[in-house]
Amino acid sequence: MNKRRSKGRPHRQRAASQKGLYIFGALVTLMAVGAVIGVAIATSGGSDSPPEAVVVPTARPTDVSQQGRVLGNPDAPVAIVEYLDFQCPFCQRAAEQVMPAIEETFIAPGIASLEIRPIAILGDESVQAAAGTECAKERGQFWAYHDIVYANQGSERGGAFSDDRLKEFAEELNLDTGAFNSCLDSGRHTETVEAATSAALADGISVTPTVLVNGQVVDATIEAISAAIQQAAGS
Amino acid sequence: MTTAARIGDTASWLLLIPLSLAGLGTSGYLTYSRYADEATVCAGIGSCELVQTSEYSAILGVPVALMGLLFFVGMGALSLLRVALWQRDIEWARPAAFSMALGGTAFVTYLTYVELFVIDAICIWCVVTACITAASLLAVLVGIASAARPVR
Repeated sequence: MNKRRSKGRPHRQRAASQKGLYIFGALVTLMAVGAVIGVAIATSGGSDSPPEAVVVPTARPTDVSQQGRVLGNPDAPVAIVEYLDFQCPFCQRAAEQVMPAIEETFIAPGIASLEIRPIAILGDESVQAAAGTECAKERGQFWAYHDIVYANQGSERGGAFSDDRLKEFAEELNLDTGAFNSCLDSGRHTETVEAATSAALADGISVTPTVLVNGQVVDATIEAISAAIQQAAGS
Repeated sequence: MTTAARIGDTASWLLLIPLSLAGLGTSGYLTYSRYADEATVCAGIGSCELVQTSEYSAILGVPVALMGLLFFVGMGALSLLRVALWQRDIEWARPAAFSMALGGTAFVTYLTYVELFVIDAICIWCVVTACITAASLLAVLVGIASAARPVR
């Protein structure tokens, strides 16, 4: 029907009709896209304000030994290494939903140890949060600080890990705030984090979390890590 | 329409099919990694994870990756329909493709601006998707130019 109608119309009339369609379509589409962009700007333009109160993390699942960034017996037959970024939501999920089960099943009984290697691929707040954990490590509180950082994670670059906020975490943990603040303000661990990040990237670690079990990369799931630990412990 | 014009017009529709497939691949992967809660593999280029998890990655809860996927589904379907019915004149097909490609290009221009100047991070799959969208507009414009040649 369309074909017959088109054939029956003079070329000039059809061209004018098509021109109208182009203009109408372009205007409608651009207005729709403009509206969508307007909504996007209105709903996500500003940085989220972090919550006023510091969220206190739940207690660790076990009281297994902690040495620096290593959880459990450093001489355990299976070594788990996790590269993480404190602003990365997948890392938060791994820390809160995966590693507690691994800790209970394999780390507490001495089968495996877990070493955290914080890197910063998501910006300055990742660097500062990792530097904060290094400052807490100097006071033997790496893991407590690790937990409180994740409990208070916000949107990237939204101020969740501003220097003031990181200092509030230390206060909440009853760390020596004078020493912690001085450590953070000195920036002496900024280079530590940046060097760790460069080394990780040079080793091909570009995604966080990256979990290695005795040097082999595995998915950051309870199933994958458990299977790899059992295989490594059995061999 | 002259034979040359019809060849140019058909070629532009044929070009849109692989472009749509490529766009389906990149936007499909970004949509999958978003819904599967998996970190986006970036091939060592850029910071896909930062872009994909940023507050700009969804509008009113709808991931922009899914919008891209729907765009390429639409563009691919329209191209396939046009090629399948190549002997018929479908007046609305080219204006529809032009509107979609123009809107798509405007939107990816905004997203690329956000990546470069707001988030300050680049997601390689997003950049490739933006390039495919812009190439789709170019292909549509070639088709329009071909069809607009005067009848002798």
